Amino acid sequence: MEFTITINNKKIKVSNNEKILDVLRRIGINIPTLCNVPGLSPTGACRLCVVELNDTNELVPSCSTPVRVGMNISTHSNKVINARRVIVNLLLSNHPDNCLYCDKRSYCELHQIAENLNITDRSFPGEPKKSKSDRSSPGILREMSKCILCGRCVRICEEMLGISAIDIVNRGKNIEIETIFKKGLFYSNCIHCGLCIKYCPTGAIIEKSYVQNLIDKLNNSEKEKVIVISNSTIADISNFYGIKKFTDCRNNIVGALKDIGFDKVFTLSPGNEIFIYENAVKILNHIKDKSNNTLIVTDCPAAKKYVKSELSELSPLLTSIPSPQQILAKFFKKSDDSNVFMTVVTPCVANKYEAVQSSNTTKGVPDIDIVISSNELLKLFNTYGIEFPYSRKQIPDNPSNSDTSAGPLFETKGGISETLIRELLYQNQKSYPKKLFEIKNDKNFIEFSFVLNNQQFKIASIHGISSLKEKVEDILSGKYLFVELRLCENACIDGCVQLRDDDPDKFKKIKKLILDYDETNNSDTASKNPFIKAYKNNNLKQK
Amino acid sequence: MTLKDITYNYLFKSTELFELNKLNRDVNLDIPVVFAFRSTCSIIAGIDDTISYIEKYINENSINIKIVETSCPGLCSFDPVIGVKIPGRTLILLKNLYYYEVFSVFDSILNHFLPDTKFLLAQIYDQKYNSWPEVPDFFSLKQVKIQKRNILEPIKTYSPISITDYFAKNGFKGFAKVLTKLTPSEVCSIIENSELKGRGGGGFFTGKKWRKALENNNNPKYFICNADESDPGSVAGRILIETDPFKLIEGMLIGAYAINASKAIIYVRNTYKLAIERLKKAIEQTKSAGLSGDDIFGSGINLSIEIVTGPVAYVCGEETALISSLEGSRGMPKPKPPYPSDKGFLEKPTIVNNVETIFNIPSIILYGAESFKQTGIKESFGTKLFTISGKVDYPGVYEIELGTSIADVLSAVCDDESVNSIKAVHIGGPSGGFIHPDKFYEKLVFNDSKNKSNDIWFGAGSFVVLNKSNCIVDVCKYFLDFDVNESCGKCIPCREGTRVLYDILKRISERPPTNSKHETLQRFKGVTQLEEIAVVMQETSLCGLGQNAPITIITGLKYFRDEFEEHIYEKKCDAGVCRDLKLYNINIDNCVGCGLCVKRCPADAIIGSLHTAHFIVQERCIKCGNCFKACKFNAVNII
Repeated sequence: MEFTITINNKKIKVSNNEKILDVLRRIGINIPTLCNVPGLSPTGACRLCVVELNDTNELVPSCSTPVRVGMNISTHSNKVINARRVIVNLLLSNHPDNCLYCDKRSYCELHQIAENLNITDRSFPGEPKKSKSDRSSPGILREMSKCILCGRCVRICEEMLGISAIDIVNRGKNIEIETIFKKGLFYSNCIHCGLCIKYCPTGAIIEKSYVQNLIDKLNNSEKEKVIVISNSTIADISNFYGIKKFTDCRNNIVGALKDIGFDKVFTLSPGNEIFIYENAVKILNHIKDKSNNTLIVTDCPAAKKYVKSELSELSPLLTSIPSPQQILAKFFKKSDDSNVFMTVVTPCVANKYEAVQSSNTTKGVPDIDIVISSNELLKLFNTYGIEFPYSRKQIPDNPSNSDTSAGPLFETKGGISETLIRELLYQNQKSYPKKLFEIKNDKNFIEFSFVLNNQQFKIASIHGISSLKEKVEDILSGKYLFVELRLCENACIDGCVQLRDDDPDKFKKIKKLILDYDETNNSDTASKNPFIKAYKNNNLKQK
Repeated sequence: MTLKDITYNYLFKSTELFELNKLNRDVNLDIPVVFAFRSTCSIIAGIDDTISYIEKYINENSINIKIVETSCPGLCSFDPVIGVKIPGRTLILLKNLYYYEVFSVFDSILNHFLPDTKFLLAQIYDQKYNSWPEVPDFFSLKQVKIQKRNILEPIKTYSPISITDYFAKNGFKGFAKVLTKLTPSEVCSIIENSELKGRGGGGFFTGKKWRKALENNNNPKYFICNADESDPGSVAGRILIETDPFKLIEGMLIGAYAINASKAIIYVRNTYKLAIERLKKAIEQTKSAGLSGDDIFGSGINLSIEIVTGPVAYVCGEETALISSLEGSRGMPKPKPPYPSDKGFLEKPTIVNNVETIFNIPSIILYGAESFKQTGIKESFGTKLFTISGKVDYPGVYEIELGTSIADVLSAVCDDESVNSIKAVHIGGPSGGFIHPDKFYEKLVFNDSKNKSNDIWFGAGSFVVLNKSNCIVDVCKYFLDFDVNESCGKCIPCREGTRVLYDILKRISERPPTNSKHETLQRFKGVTQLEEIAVVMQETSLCGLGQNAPITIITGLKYFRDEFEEHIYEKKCDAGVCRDLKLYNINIDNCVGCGLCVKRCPADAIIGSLHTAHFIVQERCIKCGNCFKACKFNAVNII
């Protein structure tokens, strides 16, 4: 049912059951919110989104109030603004004042809202909260004194992921957000996906930064300094600086990193390609064996941990190929006492967690010495005063100089499926279509089908825990040849520690950049890379 | 004959049964009967010891006396109350009967002599029996006369946990009427016609709420009783359950029938041990009497009743928080709409009613909406339970007819001298506000207006009387401290607002450590800041806790602004409660250095050697006043 309501003296058409906030956002009125997460049910905790109903002079939260016939709303009346100011002042009354040292800085939503409401001094008395932090996780740092208890992290962990690694404890003024038995994230069931970092409005949940360690090592280490950059990071930086071509940006970054002091610079593509190649071999054997199981192909450490701990019935189905970063780490650090200092740049905090897992360490030392995020890479560039497009362009070192476009494509949504099918068809019959036939494309679930040796196969690409949970039965019944599984809804290109940007459609632009690169590139499947050919022959020889 | 058969005959064939005259049976016995009015409050007063001494007395003297355990009449200052009925004489009520007095009192009373007058409360006149001389009639006591006991009995002389005793008082007749003669819609109409309003604080029409849930076709539905009474000044729900658990069950069965629910849940505060114990026994008997369970007496209706004990959380009295807690999550309110009557427990239509509301249901059904409307005044029919405490002489739980003025209530619960020294009444607990003596003529009624700080709003019915020895700032601080700790912490205005309000009150009730300009300015801002925050909290908080928490401050500032200002500007507390405002120092001219104050000081705050003038270290001083009392030379001054 559609009807009109009055907003700020203008008639606006709305449909039944729409929430006021959604209408306001649609017509371009900006309302401050701290607890609202699009897609999750409204919780009405921050009360900043209040609007005034003109007939009763009542303030109602716009996030949870549905529109009614005859509503007459003022969104920025004096009363509303005053209420918002008092609420933010109350929040700030015991907020720690160390914004200078806070990682969020100008990206802090609380900071922005306070600025927009012209709050310039502390109006109400209050002692700043004492610092209390959880540093147990290798990727996530929680500084609870900056927490404003909006509950976004709790709701995401519970509603979006179904994990509930953190929850609200205590009552009244002692309320805080804690892990089980207050032991820290590392000892909880946290899968280190980092979504809470992405949604935290303040600097209460941030990624653990390793840039300064990296800079120290760059200047003091005698070892050969190697850096591997994921393609998502390259695409993100090129989007950030408006560089049109993927390869241009890649070569700029390589040149910059060489100047900073890295001896060798690689992209993650060789790792991706080996991952694709190995999985393709495994799947072809799987077809040969005529086994009916659905395999689960994933490079996502968070998804792996989730399957192993929460859905243990699926864990035998995981193809036990290590993630691309770890493949490269083993490749570069062949011997135990290798003289290589390896850094990886990824858009993901789960990789920081993966790097310290016992299976990825040698004699207690992680194979990958330092994992930094795309965001941290930008900080590194800023430290060294590097602006893009950087003047010096360089080709990445061998084997990354012969990258195919399968590497970048691999990191997009549905990328594992696409690159893997290409590779399967290429290995089998040396030809494949560029576009795959999609049977179904829900938001976080894509189904593909393809024909191999006159046999029709179905595969699925699953993103996010909620769609995985829906498909558990299908996977167990062997409906698909394999499923691709990733935890982030838009895969690695929209990882939670990519460059900070308010643009909600950023991932679409990045994806387009990569697709453009893929379309113009003929070398577009793993096996077309001479490095993979060599790797294949080497493997055969070893056998 | 099983209990089920007895019930069936009683309810549907209206055969007179010998069992049903139990009430009169106890009173008419030809042996002495002792009535022990036992409830949580009388247990605290020591009734259990009294009972065991009565038993000891019976054993030692080997007399045949029957002890009947019943429930307290709600007059807390008289606890423990024991009733003695000896053959041929009226029932006499003894007050403050502690265990060490049992032997002497029983020695005299069993021999038809009156004990000391300090034990005499009243007697219940009955023309059949000889009355006791000079003992007043129970119903002529001013504490009883002010009350209109409709849902509670004036004095209960039978066991609260026997279903047959409850039958004797027309128990379950209402439910039987519903089951045989009325459709759910008709039940809703009767409640709607009675204009019964929710007694938990909201004051919403119960019938309207039921109708909404009935019209929702999403099954199953749930009927929930909110017995999570956590208001620090109210025990009405507890008294009700302890006195008449069956009435609650009957009301819930009717309510569940009226909305087509098949499950009724009682969410009761975990600390109400005796209430839970009696309720459990009552539910068991109801079940074995066939009044709950599957296919009740062949009507095809299934109703089950379950008890869930809740953590002691004030916020769980809010219906959505209560539902969250029942579902196993953290007790936090959710935004409304959707209202629980659309989407409540497990996302199904749910009705949440307060204990007192449910207690009103059986008699409305049995005697009709019009009989309910005989009590009270227009728009506020019926009675309301008030838990009266504070500076009164006769605290207790009083069932007051709506429309009675506050002054009338006060004159009944206070002696004449203390009435005049009353400074204010605080009604509604942490969600309520002060009432100034100028407004004592006003009637206790439901107020619909949005601005609760202008009207009397009685919340869950706590009624705290304050006199000259209470400091308004301190009382505000007490209630805010409660809110600070009981806020669930979900919404910012409530969580941070109560904390900041408390901080401001704390600041103005303390002497500033230094006299810097900044501190003085912050102190002077106190009142304006209080007002600013209080208004925003009222308007923007998510649930009733936050919306009503600042009413105490708003009404306090409205009627007693001078008292706040005195604290701020003159750093003085007239009532002498805010002792952190005081400053003790020693006048060196008067001090002879005797050292007595050093000995008395618990905080080692006084230094000085013998025969020289002493000195108080202000940082250590805890303002206990011992030195002031100890000094014989008037050397200690209070500023």
